[in-house]
Amino acid sequence: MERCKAHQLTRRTVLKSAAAAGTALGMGQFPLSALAGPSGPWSERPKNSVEQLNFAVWSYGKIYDEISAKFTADWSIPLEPIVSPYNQHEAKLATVLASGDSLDVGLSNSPTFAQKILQGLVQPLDDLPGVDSYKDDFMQSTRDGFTFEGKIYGLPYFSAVWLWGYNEELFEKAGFDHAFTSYEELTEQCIKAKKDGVSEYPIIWSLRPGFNSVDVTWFSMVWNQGADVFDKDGNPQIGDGSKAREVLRWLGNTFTKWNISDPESLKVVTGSTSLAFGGGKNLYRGCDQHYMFNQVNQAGRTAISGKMRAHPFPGDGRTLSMSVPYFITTATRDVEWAWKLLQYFGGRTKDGDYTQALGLAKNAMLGSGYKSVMADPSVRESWRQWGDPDIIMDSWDKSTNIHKVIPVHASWYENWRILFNTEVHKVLLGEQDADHACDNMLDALKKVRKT
Amino acid sequence: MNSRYIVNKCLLHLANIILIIFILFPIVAVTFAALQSERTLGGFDKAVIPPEVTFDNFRLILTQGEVKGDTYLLEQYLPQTIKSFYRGFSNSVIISLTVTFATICFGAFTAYTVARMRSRWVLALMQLNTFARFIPILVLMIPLYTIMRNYGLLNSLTGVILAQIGFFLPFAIIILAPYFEAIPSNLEDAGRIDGLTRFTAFLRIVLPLAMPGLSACGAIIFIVSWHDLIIPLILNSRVQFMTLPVIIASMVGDTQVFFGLIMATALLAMLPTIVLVLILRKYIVEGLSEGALKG
Repeated sequence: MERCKAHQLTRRTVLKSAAAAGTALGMGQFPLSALAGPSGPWSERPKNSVEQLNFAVWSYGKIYDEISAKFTADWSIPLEPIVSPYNQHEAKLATVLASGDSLDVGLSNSPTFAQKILQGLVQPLDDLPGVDSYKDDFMQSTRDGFTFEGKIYGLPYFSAVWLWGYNEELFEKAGFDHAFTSYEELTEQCIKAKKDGVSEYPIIWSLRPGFNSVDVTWFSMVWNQGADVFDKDGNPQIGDGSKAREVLRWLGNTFTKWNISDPESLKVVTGSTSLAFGGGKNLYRGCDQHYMFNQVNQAGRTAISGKMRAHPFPGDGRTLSMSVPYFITTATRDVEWAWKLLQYFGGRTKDGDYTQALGLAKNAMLGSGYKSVMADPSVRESWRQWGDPDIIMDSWDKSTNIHKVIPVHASWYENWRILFNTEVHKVLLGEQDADHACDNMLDALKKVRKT
Repeated sequence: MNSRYIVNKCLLHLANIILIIFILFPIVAVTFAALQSERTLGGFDKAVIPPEVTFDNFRLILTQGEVKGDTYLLEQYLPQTIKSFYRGFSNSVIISLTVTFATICFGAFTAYTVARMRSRWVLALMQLNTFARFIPILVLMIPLYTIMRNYGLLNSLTGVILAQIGFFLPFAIIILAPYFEAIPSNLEDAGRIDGLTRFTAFLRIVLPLAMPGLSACGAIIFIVSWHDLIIPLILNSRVQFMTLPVIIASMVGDTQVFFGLIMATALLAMLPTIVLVLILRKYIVEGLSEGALKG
């Protein structure tokens, strides 16, 4: 009841909102988000008081300095940041949580989020004020990624969709009038480009073992062709005659039989693949996260800036996507204040704007996970300098969250993923065939499930 | 015979040169990478000499992000830790020097005790000490974090210094004990006959003789402390207490990796260790070669 009272509109709030809206309309600048305005639950002060709040994130530019300053200015609550390098963040987060320290808001890698929920480290958000407005605004993929057993557990830091890219300059040099529409055509184009001396290795992939590389590459190509590596119940679909084997065999052949895949692919992930692709030696960029277009096409950043074009998955274009979550930990000192802070990072600030999400989308091409942000004309306009927003947005509409396709929530998955990476790499290095690799993966699966 | 000697000598020199190239190769690669923009770095994979030389990476680091140069002019999200380069550098210097000095002091006393009092218990403790070193440091991070938090030593240089001394002291003892053992005790006995106490004999006779060993051990401890990422990372969260390895690690982001900046920072971070090794070169060579015989 008290909570309901707290969210009632006051006369002053209504007048302030009306005045602000009138001014914005008069200036011809009326963002959709302003309709939610300062009158929403995001503008209400929680009833409890806290001396400070803290959060554990990995570093990214100065976004946490800026959003923390805004939070403190709006609510007069100081923040204690725990900012770690990206690769060391999970170790730091685990240490802080295991030590019994209070921690209000955390940031998780997408693939490990489910495990954190299963370990009881993440607070569900469903009963918190205003969460329904976020749920309604979530893109389907984001909602799928953050929902476990019917409850919502996070707000998005950013979201990404997997699709292909090509080097327009080499493409024209090769004399192609359209990008591939099937994997057979992709193979043919690459063999021709290699034969004609256009590119020694026409495709470069992100296949260094790790998150979102080997696994998403394989799973997404299988998924794109209407099949699964694991079915909905977690049963493997990699037996004899399976699509998964066929895709792995094809992938292996691109390295060993046709020599059309760049061997560097086995050493790089998204950022470093962009740097390598930006060198201008590869025709196609194997499926990867969409912000690769920002990494390659940003003016002056690579030798082919502005020349990398987006290309959707073949066939019906279905692909995978993911959202990286901020979450409230179960070690928070005050859930309502943590919710307030969580919204500043992954939702609306006091003024009702998606301040951080909009900034990251416009400046770094990071998808937001919110329909309203992605539909904002300023985002689409900004993305035009790096890529083809229409193709990217269309791929997003056809995407499924990796959590629905890759069994990252299974307790055995992480152990299996390590073994699976090794087996795939052996195929790509020509040390074994796809059948042998899949048989080994099945054996490994039995073992990790037992343990 | 003479020509055979010359051939052998030439082969030895050739082997030396190959070894030196092998050792220096990573440093050359880092230097080349530090002198290029990300753009050139991406396309430069076969040429021996880099096609471009730019000091933008160093400029950005040394001006703490103020001067971006052409390379970083349009970058929206540069790692913020470059703004703390000098702070990180001085933190690393303070931590490494203090840890080295304290570890060598305590290590020398303990190693001397181990060398001279070879009782069963001391030897058993030494073996236990050796065994304890097999435990990965990462496993001990949660208890270490908890202990430091309880003593209010999180987000401080003191916490990192104490933790590193704790981790490195056993190594120092293992390195120094055989060294002290090899110094004849007759020399101390002679000094004690001339009126020295055991402590003053240690200070005036044993320590000067052990200088090469202490220098070699000190150089090793300094380098290990200088490069340590895990302890400062786990114990400190605030930018003002970051060390250089943490700053370098921060340049690898989730969506961006700044290779040029990483290489330039790594090159600058190498300087103190290179200077230290050059200063102590004579002692280190003596210490390591004698240690090889005495171990």
